Amino acid sequence: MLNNIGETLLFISFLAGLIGLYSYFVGIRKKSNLLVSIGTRSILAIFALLSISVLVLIYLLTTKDYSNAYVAKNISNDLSFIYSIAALWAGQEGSLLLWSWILSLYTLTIRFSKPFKSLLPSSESVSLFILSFFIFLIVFVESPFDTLGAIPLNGRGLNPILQNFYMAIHPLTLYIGYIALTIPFAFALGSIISKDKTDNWVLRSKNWTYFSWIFLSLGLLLGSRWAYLELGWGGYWAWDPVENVALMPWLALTAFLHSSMAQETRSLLRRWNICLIFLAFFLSIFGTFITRSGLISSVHSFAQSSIGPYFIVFIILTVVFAIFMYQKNKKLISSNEDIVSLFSKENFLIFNNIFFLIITLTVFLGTVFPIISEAFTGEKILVGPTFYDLVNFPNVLALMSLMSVAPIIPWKTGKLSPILMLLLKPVILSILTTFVAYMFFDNFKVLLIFFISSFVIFVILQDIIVEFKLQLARGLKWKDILSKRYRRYCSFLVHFGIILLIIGITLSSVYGTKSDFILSTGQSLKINDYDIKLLETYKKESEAKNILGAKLLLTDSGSSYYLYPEQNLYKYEGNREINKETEVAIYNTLKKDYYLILIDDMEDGRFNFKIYINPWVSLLWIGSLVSILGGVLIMFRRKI
Amino acid sequence: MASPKKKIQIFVVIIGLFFSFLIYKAVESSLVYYLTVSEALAEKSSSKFKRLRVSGIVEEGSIKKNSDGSINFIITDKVKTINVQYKGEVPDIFTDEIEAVVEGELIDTTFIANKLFAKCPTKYEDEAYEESKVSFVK
Repeated sequence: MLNNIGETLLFISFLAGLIGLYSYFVGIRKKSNLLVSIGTRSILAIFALLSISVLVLIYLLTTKDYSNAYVAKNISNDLSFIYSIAALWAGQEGSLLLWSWILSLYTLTIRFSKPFKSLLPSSESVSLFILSFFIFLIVFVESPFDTLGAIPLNGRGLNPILQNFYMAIHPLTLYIGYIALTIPFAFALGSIISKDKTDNWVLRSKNWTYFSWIFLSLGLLLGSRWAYLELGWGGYWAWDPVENVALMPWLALTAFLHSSMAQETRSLLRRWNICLIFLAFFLSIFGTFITRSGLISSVHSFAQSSIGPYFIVFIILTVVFAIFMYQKNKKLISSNEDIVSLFSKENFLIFNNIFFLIITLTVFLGTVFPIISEAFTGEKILVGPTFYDLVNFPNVLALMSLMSVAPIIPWKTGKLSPILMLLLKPVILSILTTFVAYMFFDNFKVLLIFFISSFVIFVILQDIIVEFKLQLARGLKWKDILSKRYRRYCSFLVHFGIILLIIGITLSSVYGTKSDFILSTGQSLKINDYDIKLLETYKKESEAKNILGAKLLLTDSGSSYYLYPEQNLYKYEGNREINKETEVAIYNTLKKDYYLILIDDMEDGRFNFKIYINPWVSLLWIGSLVSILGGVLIMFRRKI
Repeated sequence: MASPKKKIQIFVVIIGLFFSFLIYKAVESSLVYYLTVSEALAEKSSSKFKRLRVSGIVEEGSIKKNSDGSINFIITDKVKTINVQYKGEVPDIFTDEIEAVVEGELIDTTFIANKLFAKCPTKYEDEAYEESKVSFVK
């Protein structure tokens, strides 16, 4: 019954989408307000219908109604209430429904972008077109309301790997960020379609792009944290295809956030910005396609289905249409001004974009390499993590160098000599810092990163100090200076976070160690400069699982830590075929993470372990959070 | 004196050339061939296949624990089989009859792996479920 209602609601919302698209199409061409308003109403109708559908599916999930195929596939009797709701995005059909609902909500808010009424119909129609595609998928291809002929007593259950706090928030966060890219895309394309010559679309998009950037960053952070905690996913980043395709829209978007400043301030790079936002949007759709189609094998592939071909058709249609409209109307959007000096902020922003795009291209190449190589040579060839490390290292160095100079350099006519004077003190200080660091670290890569990092930080500090001295002398208060320079200081905060993140990645990858060892109870072992002792092992039984655990004592330079790695065997297997779950024992300190895995009971009184010592991973999490905080602060201020 | 735009273009070309070369070198040094069991055995003699990634189904009952903490198992593509030796953490979903992917070197008839991946067997597309679905629209 409820399933039929759900299916019907979705079907009606698809019809509403078609009606809306037709009304917009004819309405915009004939300049009919009546037809356009029908289109606008159809968006409201779709949002209402999808909202009810989502509630129906949540109701079916939480009441464990196994007559619904999606419910039977993704949850089971032993699953808690919270995970039953999270199962909404555990599988394909539910994810697509949620995706459509979020997009319908976003599309609905377009009309509240008041200052540029003339662009509304065309932007809304673009967004509605994309929304209709997703509704098409859940109506005709992957319906979340399919029913089962024979109702099972218990469902297949959620994969134990997914029964996790991160499962409850990581996918949702990424969806919110990914989908938000649709709106700037719709503004940009809408602006072209309606032959708008102003920079309005960029100004309107800015909050959406910050919003998207914040959620994508948070989603990536949560994802890498989850992969770090979960065994077999290769640590916080493994250059796995699914990770790569999530990173690419973030890279393109970050490039856009920089280059769009040139358009806001000097009305420069107008065509370029349109292309960039197109790219970010297409990469987000490409990411969805790769993740969902299973075209490239990944350790994170949880969903695989038949929607691949539809996505290809959709991507091609949208790309061709966008390029066609761009080519047709690009004469309208040429930049009025020109770049006058090599040493100007706008020029540095261009170079920022170039390096970001090279990283994007590198990640893209690495991801699709197996497909390309198979097409051309018949052999499936992968590129390993060294590929990314080799190419991205100089890119990151270049971006960090830009990060030091670009924020303080003026627009238009920057002259070289005053800039060099400004950089003199920071250069000397960072050389000194690097010498101090040389006493503790011997790796060239690390020292190079230290040098540039401290350079960026000293430039930032100098800028703040000089500004404060000057303004305090003029009689301004601290608060006034902060609010005057609000955006600049927020961007410093973002950059500072990124610096911490890069240092964290560098130190943990250069100085990380791992060792395998076997111990019996009471035995201890010295590995490198720490001692490890197996105190005891235990077997426990709970309602859901059998637990094999161990208690170890680790002593490192005077400090002792207890570690409790576990192996869980779930009793109820359902159809999911996975019943084992390794609980990694992690002891976090600021300086080092002790990451211990109980691999196996050797069944001769000995136990098999593996330990990773990951130095300074903490900087990675702290840095990311600092950056995201900076982004939130920037966005918060814009809204007021 | 060239205009700033020209200078930028020259810079871009130089950067482009540098990274094209770097990407080429990076690809060359990080290649991993992805083969099936039969292909790996057939190409064994060829020297270009230093580092391999081989995928196959884990034969039932073939997983053996050794006293040094390593494991041995056999993967097959239903035509030929390879004996794999691996030491390290084992993915939770690794068990009999799943698709495993190993990375390492093939030495004589044993594959010495230092990476082991297991593909999730529940692709959320169970045949039985698919067939018993009753769709409203279709």
